[in-house]
Amino acid sequence: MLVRAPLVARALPRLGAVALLALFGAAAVFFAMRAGHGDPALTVLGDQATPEAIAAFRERWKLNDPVIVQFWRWLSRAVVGDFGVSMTVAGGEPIARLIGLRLPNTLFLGLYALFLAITVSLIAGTVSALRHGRMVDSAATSLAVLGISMPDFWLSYVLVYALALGAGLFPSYGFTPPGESLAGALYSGFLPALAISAPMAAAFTRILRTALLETLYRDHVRVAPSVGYPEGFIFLHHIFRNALIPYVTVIGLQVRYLLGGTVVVERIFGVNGIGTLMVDAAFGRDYPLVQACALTFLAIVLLVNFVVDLICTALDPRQS
Amino acid sequence: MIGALKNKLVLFGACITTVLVLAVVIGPWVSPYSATEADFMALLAPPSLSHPFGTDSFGRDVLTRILYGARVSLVVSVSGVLAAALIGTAAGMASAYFGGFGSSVMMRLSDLLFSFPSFVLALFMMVVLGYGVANIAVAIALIYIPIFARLSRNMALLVKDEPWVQAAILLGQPTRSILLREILPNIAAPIFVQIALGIAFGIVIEAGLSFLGLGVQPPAPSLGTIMADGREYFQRAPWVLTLSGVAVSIALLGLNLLSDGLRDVMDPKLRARL
Amino acid sequence: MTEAPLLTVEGLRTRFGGAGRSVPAVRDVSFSIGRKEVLGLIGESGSGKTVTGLSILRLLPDHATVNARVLAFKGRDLSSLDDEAFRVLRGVEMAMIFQDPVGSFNPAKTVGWHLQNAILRREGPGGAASWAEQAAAMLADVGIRAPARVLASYPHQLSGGMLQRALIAMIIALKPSLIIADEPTTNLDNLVERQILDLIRLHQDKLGASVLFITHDLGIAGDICDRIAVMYAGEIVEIGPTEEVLKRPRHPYSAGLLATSQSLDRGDAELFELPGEPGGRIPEAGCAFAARCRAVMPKCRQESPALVPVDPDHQARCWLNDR
Repeated sequence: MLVRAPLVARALPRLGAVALLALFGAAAVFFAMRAGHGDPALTVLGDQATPEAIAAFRERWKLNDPVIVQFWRWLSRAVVGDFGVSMTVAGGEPIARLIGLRLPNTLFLGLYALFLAITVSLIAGTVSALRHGRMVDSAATSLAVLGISMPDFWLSYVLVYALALGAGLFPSYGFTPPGESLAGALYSGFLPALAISAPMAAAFTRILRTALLETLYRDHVRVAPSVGYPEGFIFLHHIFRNALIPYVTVIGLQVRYLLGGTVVVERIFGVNGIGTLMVDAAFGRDYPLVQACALTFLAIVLLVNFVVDLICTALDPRQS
Repeated sequence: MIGALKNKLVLFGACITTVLVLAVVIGPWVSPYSATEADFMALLAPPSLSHPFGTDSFGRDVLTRILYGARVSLVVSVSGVLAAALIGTAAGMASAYFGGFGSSVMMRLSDLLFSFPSFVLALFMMVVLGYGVANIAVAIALIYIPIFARLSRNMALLVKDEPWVQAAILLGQPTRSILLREILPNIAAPIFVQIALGIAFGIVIEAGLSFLGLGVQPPAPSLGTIMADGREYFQRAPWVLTLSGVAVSIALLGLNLLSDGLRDVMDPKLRARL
Repeated sequence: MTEAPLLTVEGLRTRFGGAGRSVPAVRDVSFSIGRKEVLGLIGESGSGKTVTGLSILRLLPDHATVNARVLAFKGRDLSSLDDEAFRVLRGVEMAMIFQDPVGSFNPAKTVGWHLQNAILRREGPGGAASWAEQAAAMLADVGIRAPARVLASYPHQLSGGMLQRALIAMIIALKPSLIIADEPTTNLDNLVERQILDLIRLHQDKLGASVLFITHDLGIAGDICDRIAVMYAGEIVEIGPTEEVLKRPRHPYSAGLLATSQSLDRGDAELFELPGEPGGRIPEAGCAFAARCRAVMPKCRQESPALVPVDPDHQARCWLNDR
């Protein structure tokens, strides 16, 4: 009990829980779609569709089978990576391919935004905590509140107006996928990533500042100077190290908002990601596609939570 | 010094919120314009004395539309969040107080709901339920139920072990009374903070959905649809999008500052950890 | 005391608070500690004893102001040192044992990490190779039976007594000449308290260090200290060799503390009690203890007594001695 179990041993049961959660998520999404309003047949074929066409459609997509059977069929194929075929995209494109094409773009944007948010918050949070109570602190805190108060899609337009159309520094539309050109992706992706990152940067800055301030008043931080350690050492190992735990926790919690933000921002900037895919699928009532997109997002969140969870256990000796 | 500054900000936030609520409630009565009737004499007019926010592509006064739209957004958001608060808090308290297998299941379901990114869940619900104002409220409620459930459960777990609660149990006080009179008042404060935050975020969600065209359907005004319109002719008439965005931001700012202040007030007493 | 004292403090004054509203915590403290000497600083809470220790080590927050006529360590004037020069002295020349052992450790790091850094602080980077052995040896030295296991443990996994021992080991690793111990046993239960006190005495002797032992417990002070200084309301009211102060206290406050302690030891049916409470407002004029003193005279409320010698090497601050 005094020696902590190796990371792997602690990770496995958590992984199992994640898989279970994913399974239930898939089931919930599936049943919700089936139970929901609207008939895919009508939406795809149009209002003028003949009863025969509708019947044929339902037969083709096996929509008349009991729901459980449909789910089992879907699940057994999904496990091997076959998510079925899109109802609306011309030629019945395999969903797995559609998602596979676009997932890297969304992930790239997300990671880019995360990177920006973390960088900004590390600096701003530390500075405002150390200069607590002074001008810099008030300025940073006010900016942070502003950051959370702007809907990210509106912020996108502000940025476009200011930096793209106005100053001409960045493109206002279009995205070069990282597969084609990393530099191009970094350049064209800067504004959308910035828009997504703003509310997160604000939240991260606030939590880091609070965590640092709280840690500053802990006993061991006041004891450490008595041993004669230099200030930098004390800041790094006593103050910052202990503030990391709530900081990382909040980062994990914010990922959900990050992913939500990509949906709208992708559309504004014309990024070909899962967000735009899901919106298009929603308009077209393309059930399998909507489902697959929702589950993709779910999977990303579960995975990120898993990783953040592991990092937190590694950081905090009190958890096992 | 920052304590004093924060207090000013909180007052500022409270003022903004009050002014906005008043504007939204009274504005539409006062405005001489209609939110939906077109006026082809004044298409895309820039801001002026008669049209402080200008007009849109149908000649409708933007300020009036914003006020009507804010009404819709607020109603949707508030009802969704309040519903979530009621259901979530009840579930969380019950889970903390009674425990047991049912409680675990409920919390797992709540976690599952929580694992979907908020906007994605909202989007998904619009597909499942169909468009419409009521359904947006349902979507917002679903997003927030897990948050309230977790919050109230964590707080209730802490309060449950306090001596006065234990005393009430021993004295044979009926369960419902214990939950409502002993536990609930002591967990109320962070819940109110969360309600304020939730309303702010709910407005963003509704605006986002409507902006994409999946929420409130035009020509009905909502903050999102106005912004969607504004986006179409952004180059020619940037004020529509800009000003409606500013309006939303100010509303959010007010709510955020207010909830910040609430949080600061209760900070030393209760630390709410999600 | 023919040898030059290790630490000389004269006229130490410490105030808290900013412009306008400052509160005096230490009003006038003077003492010196010789080499290998243990000086006890006795007082109730609010007497300023902890603040005295923190003032000497410059560990107070920014809004505190510390002044002294003389503040010298090993002959060097401490007030003239800048922050960095002073930092170099901390730990390896002057170290402090704090009251709460649990709070003294960084919860995110192992005990081993703390000891390693203490050893490196003392030895410099050269000690990097052998720190583990040294650390284990030191833990064994303070009576910890499974040093390797404790080194790998995190603070929350160990008991208060264990942590206090580890803390002492850390201080020993620094090899300071002066140790300021601020109520090191108050948070521990009696059995452990005894052991820790013995440890402190043992290692103080081994290291040849001096100790400023801050406590409210006269009994402990009597056991471990060579000389005793009694503090009240920010001032030293009596200072002298332990035996003398405890046998023949020359200040009513010391006498009261002594009587309380003895009454407790005897297990009286009705315990002796000093009237009033500490920490009251300091009067504008006159002795600060006058309000609680049984032997108070009119003069006491008008003029503040100064600290005067009553015996060789024994001083007291009371008009009663003015005969």
